[in-house]
Amino acid sequence: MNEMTKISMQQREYSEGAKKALARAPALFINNEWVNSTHGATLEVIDPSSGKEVSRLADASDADVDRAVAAARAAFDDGRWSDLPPIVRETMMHKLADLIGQHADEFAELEAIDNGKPKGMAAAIDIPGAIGMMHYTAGWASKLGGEMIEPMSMPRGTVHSYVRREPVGVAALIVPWNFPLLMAVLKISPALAAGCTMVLKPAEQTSLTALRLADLVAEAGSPPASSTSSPAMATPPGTVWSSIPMSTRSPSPDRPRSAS
Amino acid sequence: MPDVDVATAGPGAAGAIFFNAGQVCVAGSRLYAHSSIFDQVIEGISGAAQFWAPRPSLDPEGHMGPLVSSEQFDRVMGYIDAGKKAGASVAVGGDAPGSDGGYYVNPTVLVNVKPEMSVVQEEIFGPVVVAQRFDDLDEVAKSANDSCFGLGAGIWTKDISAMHKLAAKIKSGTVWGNCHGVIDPALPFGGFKQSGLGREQARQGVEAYTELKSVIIML
Repeated sequence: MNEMTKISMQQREYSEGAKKALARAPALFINNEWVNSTHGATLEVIDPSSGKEVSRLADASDADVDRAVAAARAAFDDGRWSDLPPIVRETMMHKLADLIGQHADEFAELEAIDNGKPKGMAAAIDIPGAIGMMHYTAGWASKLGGEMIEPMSMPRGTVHSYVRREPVGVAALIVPWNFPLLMAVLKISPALAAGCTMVLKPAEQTSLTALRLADLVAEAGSPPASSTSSPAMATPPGTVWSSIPMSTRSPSPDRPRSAS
Repeated sequence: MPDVDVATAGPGAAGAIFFNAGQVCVAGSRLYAHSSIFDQVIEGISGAAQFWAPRPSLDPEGHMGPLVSSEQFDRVMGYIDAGKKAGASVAVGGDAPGSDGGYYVNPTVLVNVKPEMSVVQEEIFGPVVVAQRFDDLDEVAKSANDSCFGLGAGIWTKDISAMHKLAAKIKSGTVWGNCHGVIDPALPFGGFKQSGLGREQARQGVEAYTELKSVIIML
């Protein structure tokens, strides 16, 4: 079919903004700071439209994963995120969504370079979808609740019984490569709305937009360690959890969420 | 269903599989068209394939890009070869366009497929649709459900009774009518069978990150 309509298969020139993003020193985002990985290993970023390497990512070591989890655990346990008034969390999430919107063109281009989807599709579907999802889910922060239930076996007025709804704790979020930013937001936003902290592992094939999102998280005023990014694990996703020592598990175990 | 307007359903079915180069968890990768309109539907999808011809991602004219990686390219081309070897016919595509390094695969329609073929049973995750004929509602519901997966399904018909009956029979977490891939954060999203545990989005998706505690106080 490409014989009939001669389409040039040369990837187009990147914008100055994209070139700058691709030239960043590889780093991990832990506790709202960019830090080096403990072993200095890096992974390639390939533009599938050309097959060429265009950047490198920090490859998180097992020790890096442990410190990311420890940071998220500490941030949850001291209540700096989960004890905030729900409307404050909600407002921060709306601000994060607005920040994505302010950088929409940049996100669309990075997604196209990383994943191969047309920039126009990312601009029409992925980025607006992520923004809408974050705004929608933010609203749940102030509307979650438990309920009051009367026991069926006790005389009325003798017992006050109710059901509380509490955040589970630290969420491990593993994200696929087909809609990188959209899938990251799909997982981040309910975790944030519920009052959880998290460790986010973007796919090693497509980590660029998650890294850019980490910059905006700091800007949106999220408290330190409310989210962490560990791009490009060298080990397969399953082993992220096996490296968590038993002593860091709380009595109510944190339930990891797997990719959709 | 036999009553569809093929001029709409053909491009609709093409979008369902070629959007994002088929790398979508709910891609419409298994197509069942009523025997009376099967050939027109295949023509309609094949005709729409040109719209989805793969281009580099920063080409402003493109609607479909390359696959995400060389591994994914090898996997998809492997499935296309397996389908051909098993006896499937290529109605359109089935190959990769020439390029100097990108992972492009042409939009592909396979016909003359059998339910037990790997291209029907397994998730290709590329721009490849496998098409089969059907004659009645119960038969197509069984064929649609003949899978260990169940994340997304699409029904194209103007017959409201057939639409609702089929939507009730199909084992899928989302069922679309006269559209495909419409995902809205207000509605729960998730799969039946091996397509996942629990639901994301909506109230249920946020509640999945919470835990219940019953408090019972004697006064």
